[in-house]
Amino acid sequence: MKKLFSLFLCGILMLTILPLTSCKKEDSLVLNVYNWEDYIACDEEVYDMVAEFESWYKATYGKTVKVNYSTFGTNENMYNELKLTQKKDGTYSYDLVCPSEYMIQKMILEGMCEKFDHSKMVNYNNNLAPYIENLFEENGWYDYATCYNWGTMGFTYNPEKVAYDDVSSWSVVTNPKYKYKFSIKDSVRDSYVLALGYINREKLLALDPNSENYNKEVGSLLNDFSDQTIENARVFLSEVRQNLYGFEVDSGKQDMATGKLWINFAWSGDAVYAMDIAEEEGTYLEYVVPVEGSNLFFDGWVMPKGANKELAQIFLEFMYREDNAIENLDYICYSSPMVGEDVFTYVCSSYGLTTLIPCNEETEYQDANGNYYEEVYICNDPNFQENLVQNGDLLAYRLTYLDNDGNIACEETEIFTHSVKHFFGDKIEGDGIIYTDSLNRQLVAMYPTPETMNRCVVMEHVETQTLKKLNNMWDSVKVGYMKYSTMLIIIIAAVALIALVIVLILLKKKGKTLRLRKKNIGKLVNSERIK
Amino acid sequence: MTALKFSRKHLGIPYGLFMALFVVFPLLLIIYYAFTDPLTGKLSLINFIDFFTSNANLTAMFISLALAILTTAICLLIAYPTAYILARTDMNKNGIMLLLFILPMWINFVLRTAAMKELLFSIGMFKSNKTSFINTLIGMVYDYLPFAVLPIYTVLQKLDKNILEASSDLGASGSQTLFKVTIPLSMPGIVSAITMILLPTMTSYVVSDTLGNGNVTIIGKLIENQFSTMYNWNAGSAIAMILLVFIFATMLISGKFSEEGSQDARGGGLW
Repeated sequence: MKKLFSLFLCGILMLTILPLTSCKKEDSLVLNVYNWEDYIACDEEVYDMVAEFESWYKATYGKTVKVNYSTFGTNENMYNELKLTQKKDGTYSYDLVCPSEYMIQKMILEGMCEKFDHSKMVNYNNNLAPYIENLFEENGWYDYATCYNWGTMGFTYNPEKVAYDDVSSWSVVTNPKYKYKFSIKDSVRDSYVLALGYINREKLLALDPNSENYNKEVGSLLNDFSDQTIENARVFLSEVRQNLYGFEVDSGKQDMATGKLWINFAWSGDAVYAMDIAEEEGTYLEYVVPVEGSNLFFDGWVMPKGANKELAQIFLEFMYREDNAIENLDYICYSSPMVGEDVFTYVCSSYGLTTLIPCNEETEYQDANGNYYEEVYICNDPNFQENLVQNGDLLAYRLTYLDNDGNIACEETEIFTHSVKHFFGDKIEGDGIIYTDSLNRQLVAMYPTPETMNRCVVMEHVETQTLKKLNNMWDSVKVGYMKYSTMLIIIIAAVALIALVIVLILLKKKGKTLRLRKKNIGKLVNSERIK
Repeated sequence: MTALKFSRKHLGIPYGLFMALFVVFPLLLIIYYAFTDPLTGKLSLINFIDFFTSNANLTAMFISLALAILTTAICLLIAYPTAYILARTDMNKNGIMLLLFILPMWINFVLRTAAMKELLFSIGMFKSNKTSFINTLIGMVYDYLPFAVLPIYTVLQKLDKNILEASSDLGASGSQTLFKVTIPLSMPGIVSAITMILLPTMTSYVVSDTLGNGNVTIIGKLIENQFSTMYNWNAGSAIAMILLVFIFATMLISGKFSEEGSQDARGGGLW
């Protein structure tokens, strides 16, 4: 009976397992995506890109696809993981990875990447910003990588405490006014840019921004890895270390919002995020890219050798669709290389002032139907729109809000124009002007002026030997310097102390045994006396 | 058909497997990496030579040693009287006082450290980077104090009261009883506290990064850097091995004490 029962159980188990296995065999579509942490729209309540893709794929192609989405914290970790899981035939177990610019260069050089089939990347090529396209084509990355996000490096600062003129130069880190109030990145590549920007500042400022080779010349100055420069950077950063608040890669945003920090060396995307969270605390932060020149970075998707190219490209195409690009832009805060009318409208509505209705000072703040405008500007020049095509033009105006009773609660502010035409190019109609109340906040941090972009350069990938020198330099900056003689004295003192303790213990033990012997002898004597 | 005989020995198989897979095997890997040249992949001592010729690494070693020794000493100084009061007086009748001391241990480590940062900021400890080391020290002591209270408390609680009565019967004063009887008998607790604090403080760089703002670089941070940002597993493994040597040295020295203590404590120690 028992046997029968167990056979029955076995049968049931087999039955339950069978459909599972067959199910897996039928459609084995799996996409392995490896991305930075928190670097895709993944808010379950709002928009989950991966889940949306899976259901979209099912609806479009009638097959189920499973996206194995995993994340990494540093480029080097990602590279390690790729190398460790490399198969015998030289292929990798991921279909899509998203490294930063220098790692993309390294991976292309090492022949780790598959080429993209750009005839299938329709959404990407339709919406790609001309600036990014040129950058990728000039450097030969276009075939191997698609840009995901990009940005500049600069300073996030609190304008209430910090003067713009100070913070718009790398030399702000040597300014005694901001001692212990600024932080730099706990990362050798980023902080090296800061050091180079300071060391070469005179050379950088002497360059003519209008000349054709300006960007290339800045590039060569900010990609200087000679031994002498690395040593200079070490000396400079060691000095800076004495005056700074700290090194960070993540906590800076929070510390800016809570006021612990006044200046934070930051990536533009983080700057936007810091501004957003600081606004909730009532602090209005700003961002500036130093005038000498700075770093331009990007993260891009590459397909490692052996990837399922077709599926990977379909996934990317899905993400590069304009509405999805906007979802990502909204979640990640980093500038997207995707441009188009919808993106422009999104940027206008989230970072620009939209409902501006022109009227003269005498005009009532009412429209024909007697409704009050929510935001009104006053401009004495009726033809202002034709005159304002330059970035950063100031409109004399007054911004007004209606309170709940319909009364006008007036607030005077300045309004500027900022054009994003240079970045959006022909992808949008019109002149791409967005009205903004500050030229140093989210909008301009995400879409810098052409002058700013002209002075930003990509930091190149460096050789292993140079990297080792850089790392050693960074170690000694981070740790500090202790004299060898001091070390020796400490070691000798420690050894002497330990020896002393051991000797004392040994002596005590000897003493104990001696005393015990004496006691025992005493006892013997006593007992004999009693006898 | 001969049935497999089940004996008590077989209960140890999972444990043995676990040890082999998660302790011995990783250790062998670390040793392998530590003695390999990162560029050529051949056996070499280059990682150790690099470590001992680099001033930065040695300085970091000294800083972490200083931090670890200070943390341990302060923890013991605070924890011993606490544990003594908790174990020997009526204050802890319901175990609530002990619970209050242990409670922080159950709250997320990173969260606790972040909270500590706000607290220290509010009393002005973040005004300059000169206080980074002290901030780190405070954070470490705060985080590791339960690890000192708990083992000492356990030992003191199990201490036979008759021994103490005997001590006072034989004419020893209160302080004499403390130094000649209680402390030697609670040595196993102290030793296990030391082993549980000394090493983690050399490697828990979360505290030094958060409270020291990255101004204090301890040896654990160096290892992390080598692995995650400098892509040099070999150098990282070498530092880990050097640290391992330190652990064994402390174990060896403290093991001597704990042997003495546990003999007297009649198996009351944790080690």
